[in-house]
Amino acid sequence: MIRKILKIVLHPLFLPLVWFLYLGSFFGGIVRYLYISGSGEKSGLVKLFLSAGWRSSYIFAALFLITLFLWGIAYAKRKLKDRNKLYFVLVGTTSLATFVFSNVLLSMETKNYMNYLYSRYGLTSVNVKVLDEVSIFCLLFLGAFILFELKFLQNNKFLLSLGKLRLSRDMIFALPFLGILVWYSLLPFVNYRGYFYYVKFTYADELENYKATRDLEAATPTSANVILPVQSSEWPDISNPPITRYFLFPRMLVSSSYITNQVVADSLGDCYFITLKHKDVVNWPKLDINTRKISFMENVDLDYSTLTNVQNKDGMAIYKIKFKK
Amino acid sequence: MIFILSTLILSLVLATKVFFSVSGRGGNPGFLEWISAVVLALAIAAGSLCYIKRIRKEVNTTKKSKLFSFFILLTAVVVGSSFVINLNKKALIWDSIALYDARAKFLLSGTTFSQMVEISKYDPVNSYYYVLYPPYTSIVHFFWYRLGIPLPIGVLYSFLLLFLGVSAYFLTRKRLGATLAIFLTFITVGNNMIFSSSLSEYTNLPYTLQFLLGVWLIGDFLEDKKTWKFFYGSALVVTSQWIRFLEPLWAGVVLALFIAMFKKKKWSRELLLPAVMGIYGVVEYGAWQSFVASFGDRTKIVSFALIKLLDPILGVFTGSAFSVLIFFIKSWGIILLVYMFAIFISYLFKKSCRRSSKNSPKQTFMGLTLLLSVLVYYSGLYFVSFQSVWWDKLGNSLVRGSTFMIPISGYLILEYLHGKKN
Repeated sequence: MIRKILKIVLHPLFLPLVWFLYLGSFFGGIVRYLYISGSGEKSGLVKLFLSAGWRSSYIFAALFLITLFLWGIAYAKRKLKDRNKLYFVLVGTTSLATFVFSNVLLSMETKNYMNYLYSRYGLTSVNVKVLDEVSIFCLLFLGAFILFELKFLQNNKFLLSLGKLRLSRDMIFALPFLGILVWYSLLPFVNYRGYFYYVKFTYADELENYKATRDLEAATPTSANVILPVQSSEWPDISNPPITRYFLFPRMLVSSSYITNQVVADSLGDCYFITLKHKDVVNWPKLDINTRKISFMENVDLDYSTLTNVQNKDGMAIYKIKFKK
Repeated sequence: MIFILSTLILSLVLATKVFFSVSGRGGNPGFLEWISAVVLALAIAAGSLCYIKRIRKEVNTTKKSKLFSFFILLTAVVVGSSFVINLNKKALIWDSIALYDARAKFLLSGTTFSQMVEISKYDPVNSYYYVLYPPYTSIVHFFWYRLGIPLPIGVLYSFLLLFLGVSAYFLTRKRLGATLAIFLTFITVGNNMIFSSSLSEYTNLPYTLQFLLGVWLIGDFLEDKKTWKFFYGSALVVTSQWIRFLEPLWAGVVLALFIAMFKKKKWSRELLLPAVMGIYGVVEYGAWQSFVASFGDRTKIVSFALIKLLDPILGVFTGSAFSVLIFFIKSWGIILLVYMFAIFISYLFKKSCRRSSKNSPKQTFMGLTLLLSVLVYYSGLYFVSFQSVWWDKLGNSLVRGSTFMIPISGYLILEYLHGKKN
């Protein structure tokens, strides 16, 4: 059984077949997206077929890598036919093109916005990364193969000078794996601009509403209770008490999710909060000065006794609030 | 060099443990916390004594090729860049401000770990956040600030990157020769994930350095039987829980050690060593767990209650295990192939050594450590996937936490290439 499978896998056309099936399923993702997002009547069967093809790309990628590895072992054992070598070079050469292509796609995602590739072409960044890594792996195999075929590695004086390192043909399948580690260690050099971005990076870049946090720090005493919005993606960072506490400690932070009723609010004593807005409209908290009601959280309206404006800056106000009458 | 470096790291762990035992519970030290500190002190003392007894000046006879200087230069550029970036950084990384550096800030104000629950009493979502994660990194940050070191805290992580490089070089120079050892050093410190973690002020790099050093010393012990390496290696591996608690990788190392020592399916007194290490691991586990149980939330990231285990067991048959496996492979990417290949290589070592009736416990141990670590990571992710909606966020975190596997894999591949002859 295993022999039969191996015979199929080592057939000269098997590797190119799997490779092009993989590429077909990858690019099928784009066809699927164009079909689904296009106008007109959609056939359920076509949609199912295209989706299944797209989802099978990972299986083809895995199958391709396994086949490549087995071909490497066959080559090491001198059992790979000349026709296999020819087809392998063909596959390896196309992997150079897919490597460049996948990197162009990834840089488009980085330059634009998250999910850019999906919104334009129906490709996820994970899809593209897999193509990128499979291509690298194939290219590394091709590199090792060329070096061995040109008899560069055998008894090479330069390699011998590295110590006891003598590379023989049966190690060809080990080199691409080492190559991957080398590739990863070259990435800091390739992406050096990205790493030096760390130097320019400030808290204002890292945290939304950082300015509001700093304003709160400047305007409130260190013994103050500060009310924050309910932790959610609506107010990222400032609604996250562990993040905000780093800048406001030793002030006590009160998450709005804690103030579930008037009794809890009354027990807090004097508190401070800053108004937060989206597109120039104050969204948090909901305040009604006429009825002396305030809502820090949906469906929880609280009465307050006094509200003092402590600071007004850039359209954001800091208030001191007392609930208990 | 390795002895000095590991003594330094273990002494720092001991210092953080003593600090925590004295002040962690606000003047009421926990029994297991003291036991864990005492056991660590004994391990350091025993290891040092064994080392001093067998001290011998090693003469460096390895030849260096022209490429040696080239890789030294590349390594220096990488480590130097880390120092330059960390010296000029204006902001700490998200996890650091949320937790690790934040706790150091609280400690500086006189707040103890047990009082940190009080700080977040008005925050139902994160009320136990500060006491759920091991304190090592925060205490080291606290020491850094208290000592008044006039450099940003990030510089500490550049030093850790440097130490990681020094470890990779000195641990492999004898076996691989100077040039391949410096090559391995370069692929270790230059690795994008490891380099990035030297720019992130939280647990990943301290954990990688300590765990890697520990695994390597145990591997060396299996080869040269130097007792200090066992004491130090086990202490480093076991106390890595003091840095990262989520994945019980230390248990994988104990099992790997047991299997590597288990020769010819016969009982031998040597097998007591993994047992001792296992008991030490349990004490260390209990030391932190008892603190969390006293002051933190009793709910855990992975619950092992019978009812909670039913879903994952059924999931094996319903395809959940496969879908998590696909996610696991996707988030780890091609580096997982390298790890699997290194495991395969260690198997080849065992096979070829069996043929020549030699022994290769070090390679077997390292290969098993890789295998069991991958299994621990996968099963952890699998169990979490049934209990948390955010389980898919854990994928990248696991990749960042598993960087100790990079130098081990690189070493196994290089040794395979190095050992083979035409």
